[in-house]
Amino acid sequence: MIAVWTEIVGSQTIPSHISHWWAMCLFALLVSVALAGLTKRTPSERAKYVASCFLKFLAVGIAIGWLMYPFSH
Amino acid sequence: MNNDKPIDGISPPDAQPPESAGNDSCAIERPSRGHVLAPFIAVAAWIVPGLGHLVLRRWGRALIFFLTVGGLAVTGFILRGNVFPPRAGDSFDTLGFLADAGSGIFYLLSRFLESIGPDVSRAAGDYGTRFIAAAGIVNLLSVFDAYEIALGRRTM
Repeated sequence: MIAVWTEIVGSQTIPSHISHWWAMCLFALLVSVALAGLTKRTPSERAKYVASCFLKFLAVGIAIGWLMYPFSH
Repeated sequence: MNNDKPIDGISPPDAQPPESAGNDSCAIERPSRGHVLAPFIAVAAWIVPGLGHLVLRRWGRALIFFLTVGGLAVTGFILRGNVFPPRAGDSFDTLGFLADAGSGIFYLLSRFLESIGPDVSRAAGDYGTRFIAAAGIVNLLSVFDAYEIALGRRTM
């Protein structure tokens, strides 16, 4: 199984590059789900928390990106 | 799925003792089964993300932690993030090792899961480093959660 995994990762079937945006979205989604599972109890509470936390992650990420924008020039 | 049910055989530490033992001054207080099992559950939760909750019959949380920790770690490996070795050169490397090691089995298998090695010369590799560290931190949170549940300090 490990050999198969190594073959898959070593080949070009899975791209090892990802844009800033999609990396941030994936990170925000996975961490939001984990925090929802940790802090909320019912599925509806968890779903609301995931949506809220995910959007806040994106909002803060975009805000920090714009704050750093002047330093990139 | 009812998460309020106490775990079979594991009672919270503040549970009332049986009345028969109430006035017995010679009674020796023995640690509850939860206190005995809690360290083992914490180790299980660290080694395999979600296993501690699985032992405690918290199926939902077990699945959530396994998928999120696994998703973060595997994404980090695919992006060829850096995995910090145990013998660190400086304090930041030590912190990186502690964060990475939190992911348990994923850290132990990182040599095989990321056999082509890290590549932090690209931005994706740097993202991967953060993903792997986040996987460890999230799993450490799940370890503390499982430990608290086993002790009966956390009912939800």
